[in-house]
Amino acid sequence: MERFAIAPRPDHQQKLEAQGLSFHAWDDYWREDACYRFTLAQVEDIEAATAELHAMCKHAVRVVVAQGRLGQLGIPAAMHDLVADSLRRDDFSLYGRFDLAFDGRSPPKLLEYNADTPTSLLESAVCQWHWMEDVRPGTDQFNSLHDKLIARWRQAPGTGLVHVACIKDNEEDWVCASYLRDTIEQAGRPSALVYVEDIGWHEDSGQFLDLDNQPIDTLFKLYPWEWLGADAFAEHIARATTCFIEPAWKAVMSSKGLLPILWELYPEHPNLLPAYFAQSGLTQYARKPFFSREGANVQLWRDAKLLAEDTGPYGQEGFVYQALCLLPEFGGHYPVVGAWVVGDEPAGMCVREDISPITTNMSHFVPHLIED
Amino acid sequence: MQTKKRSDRVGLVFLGAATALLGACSNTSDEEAIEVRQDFYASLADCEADWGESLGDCSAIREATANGQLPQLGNNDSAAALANANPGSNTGSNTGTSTGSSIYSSGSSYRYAGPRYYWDRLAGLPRSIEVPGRIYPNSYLARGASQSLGNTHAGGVPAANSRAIGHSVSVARGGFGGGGRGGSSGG
Repeated sequence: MERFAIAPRPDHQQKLEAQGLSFHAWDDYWREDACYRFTLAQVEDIEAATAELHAMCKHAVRVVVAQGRLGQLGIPAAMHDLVADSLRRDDFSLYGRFDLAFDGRSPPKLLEYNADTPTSLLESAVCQWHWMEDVRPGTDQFNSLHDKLIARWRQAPGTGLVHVACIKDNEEDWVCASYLRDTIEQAGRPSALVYVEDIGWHEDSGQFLDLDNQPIDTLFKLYPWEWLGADAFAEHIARATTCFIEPAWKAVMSSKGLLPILWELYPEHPNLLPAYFAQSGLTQYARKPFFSREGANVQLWRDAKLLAEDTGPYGQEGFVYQALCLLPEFGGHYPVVGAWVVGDEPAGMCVREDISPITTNMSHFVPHLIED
Repeated sequence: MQTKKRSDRVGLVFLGAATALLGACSNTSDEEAIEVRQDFYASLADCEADWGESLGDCSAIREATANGQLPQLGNNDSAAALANANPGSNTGSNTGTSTGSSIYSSGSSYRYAGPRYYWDRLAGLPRSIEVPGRIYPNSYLARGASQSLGNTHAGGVPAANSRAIGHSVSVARGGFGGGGRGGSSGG
């Protein structure tokens, strides 16, 4: 694993915008003056760890539900039946992204699983693929996301319109949602965008409706379950006929409360870090809220000294304490490997780097290559 | 021979073009749930007195059935489809999001429906659900009594200066999205 400088494509801004990555220049989000090179063996390590971790997480979710521990993971009581029912039905799941600490030598370590509403999807699936075609045609990249997303949508329940929902006034989410619509259409299903705030409820028919009052039969929602569960319409979800993607059981998988459960079930696993619901004697640890996103409210502690922290609105739901695993440093940059899962299969990866050991929403997306 | 880890081809069907649409936004307030409303009238003249003639938004509807089933609304096919798709439910009952006078359950005769609208708080006017961009500056709600909508917002009777004989809220909106204010939903 190596980070090296490379000449940016002179027209990369136009190309990124043509591909739909409208926010590429925000805080220099997309950087192609450098890239990461992995060997095939390193990528195969990441791929194998991704498959194993996903299987472990699915098992852990079943254990949590079976042992009645949803509340321990911060899942509101009103959602417990929803989660259990969706798990029992094995409701369709599209994708997720592990965040892994990886230095190219040691086994990848699980930092967290963005299993419910992962973004960075267009840049991972499309933009870095086209970057590779332009700068290193014929080389390889751990990236079959686009193919696998389309194939996975062909397995989705139903045959009709798929509504894709995101919140208003957030361009990153809109872009991710729009790319997913692209993959839905390429899978042969019609799609429509509906803003989360515009979703309607028709009491008499027991259906969620879009702004045209069309029933929402299949809804991909780029909006986390813990927020859905706290909204006024939450009381209608169980009664509605809508198929939600991601399903409610992903609320468990995306809670950082799953990290202590994993450590409990798989102690000393090489891809896990010790994690607990209390500090439990850890002297070097990351304190993470159950539902934090993009590093918000994460604190890194070593010997009672706060090393780094990020602010945010999370934490009231509770915290987990994970043994500290500082990201490797490459010339002042701290990369985190995002390992994608589509369905139950590893499907690619992305690298985001920061100048802080906490990866935040100010991190940079840097493309990667496989070259031995 | 090494197996490639990459997609063979990555093509998009509409995403690049769709980004040109960025910036389109609603001028409804995200802080408040909106409700889709519709007023019903005994005559076309009454409806047009409330909503105006020029836009042609008043339409004839069938009479309610004896058991109060939701009638087919002339300008609201989807509502009719919903009712037909769910024959087991008493769509005419005045429950849940259907508020106002009990015109469905009573089986009262009414013949005209005004436009389906919601109250645009920024514009201070009712805004059409059916026709994007259409507002009703000459409606009864805009004629010096718009604040009365606030009084009926929770499901009261039509405003005092209206000739409507009934009032319904067919679809409740705004019940999702409370968690999304101020940040991305993704991670």
